[in-house]
Amino acid sequence: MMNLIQFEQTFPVDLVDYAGYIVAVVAVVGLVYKFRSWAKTLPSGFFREARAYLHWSGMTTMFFSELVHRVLRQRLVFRDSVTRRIIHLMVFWGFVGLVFATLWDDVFYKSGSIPTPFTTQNFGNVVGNIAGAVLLIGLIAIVVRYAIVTEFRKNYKGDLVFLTLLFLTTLTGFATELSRFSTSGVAFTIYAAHLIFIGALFLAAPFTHFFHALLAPFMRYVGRINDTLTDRGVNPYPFYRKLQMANQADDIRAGKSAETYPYWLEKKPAD
Amino acid sequence: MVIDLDKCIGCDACSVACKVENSSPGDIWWAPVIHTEIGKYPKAKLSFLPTLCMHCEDPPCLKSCPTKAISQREDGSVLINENKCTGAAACVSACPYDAIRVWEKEATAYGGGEPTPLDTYARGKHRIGAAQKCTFCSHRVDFGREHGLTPGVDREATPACVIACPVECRIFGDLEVQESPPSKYMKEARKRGRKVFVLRPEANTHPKVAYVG
Repeated sequence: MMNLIQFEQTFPVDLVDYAGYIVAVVAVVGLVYKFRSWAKTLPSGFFREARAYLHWSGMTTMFFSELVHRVLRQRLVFRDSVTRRIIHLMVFWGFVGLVFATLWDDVFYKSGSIPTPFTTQNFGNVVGNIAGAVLLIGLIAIVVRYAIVTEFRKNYKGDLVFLTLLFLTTLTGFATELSRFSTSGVAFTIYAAHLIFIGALFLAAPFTHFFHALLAPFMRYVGRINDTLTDRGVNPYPFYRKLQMANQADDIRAGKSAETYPYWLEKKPAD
Repeated sequence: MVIDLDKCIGCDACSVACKVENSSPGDIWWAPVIHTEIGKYPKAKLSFLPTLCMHCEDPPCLKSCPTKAISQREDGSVLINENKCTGAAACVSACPYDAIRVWEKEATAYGGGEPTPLDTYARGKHRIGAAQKCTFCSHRVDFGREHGLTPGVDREATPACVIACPVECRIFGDLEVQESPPSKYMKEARKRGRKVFVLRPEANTHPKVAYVG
């Protein structure tokens, strides 16, 4: 029988759970705020029109279509660069695998222990370890690219926080897995660091590149609705916007509407 | 930029010049001309509205981008970094001028058939899945500045759509400079009682493209 550290015997599990809930609430509020400030830029009545023309069934089908093709298959991500596509897929599927493994363990077992012999409880660990390795390789590839490709470095300067936190979370996750087979007390420190990094990762989500992973699918879903309504000629969507612009210009020229002076003319003193 | 609608003859030379200069991919046109019919027979007539990215002072596309792929230069041009763009298309919905498109599928520029050399070049220059829009030919403006030329005055420093227009209905230059071509043009137009306006002011984005008509 292996010596396994039972984290729940040493950690105040309830406290960790509450901290997790607080982090989740803050992250969700931040992301909803971000999404709402983006959604405000949509034409007024967008969702009302969408429901009227596509109905709930159409919108639901579209949502799952987007989920499968855009998100899970990553159909349009970096199609021009095999290297970048593979790296992105590794990071994406590694992250998804880790989320799945964590949920599996949490939902079914609510435990950090590893039983022997093999049971379904090991399944979460196996998936988690494989996904963690895939994510780590993807992140190392990003670091290598960051070091080699100058253009890449310039592009992602502002997103270093997200990459660093994700890297540290993955590393400490692995370290936790390895250290739990030892009887050393360092395992708890590593596990605590792992939890703190996860918390920081989600707390910073609304302000870092993590934002794109959590919100882009929803934004793309709205974009898909927009495209569909455009194809069907429903206003006030893009093609109609162009017609609106043309009509507005015609009305102003015909004297039916007031002139709308450019702001820079308004700023300058009159001649 | 200022566009004189009375001069525009709807020839689409600006759209084609833009496509050639910037190799906008597939069926995406960065500077299309909208052709509409106004009035009723026998008084019906065609109306042309050249459009492009308005390079707004307060661009909603920039605010909406989840990956910060859209930026605004010091000279006011709003640009998309295709390498950072993840194709979320948030900007497409956000733009009140319908000036942004995401390149989603392979398509040829001239309605089907084998890809032209232009299509092939566009595939190398742009990234499929990324958002596309007018750049005010910032590469030409930069080239001009590096060589001591004045955008809007010297041909090499002026956007392709402007220099291609056979009736010179597009006027380009620095709006902050009183003596720049667009500033002078608008002053002159207002003196003559012509209408100077921007489109969709209700969006409150302060577009940098004005129309004279």
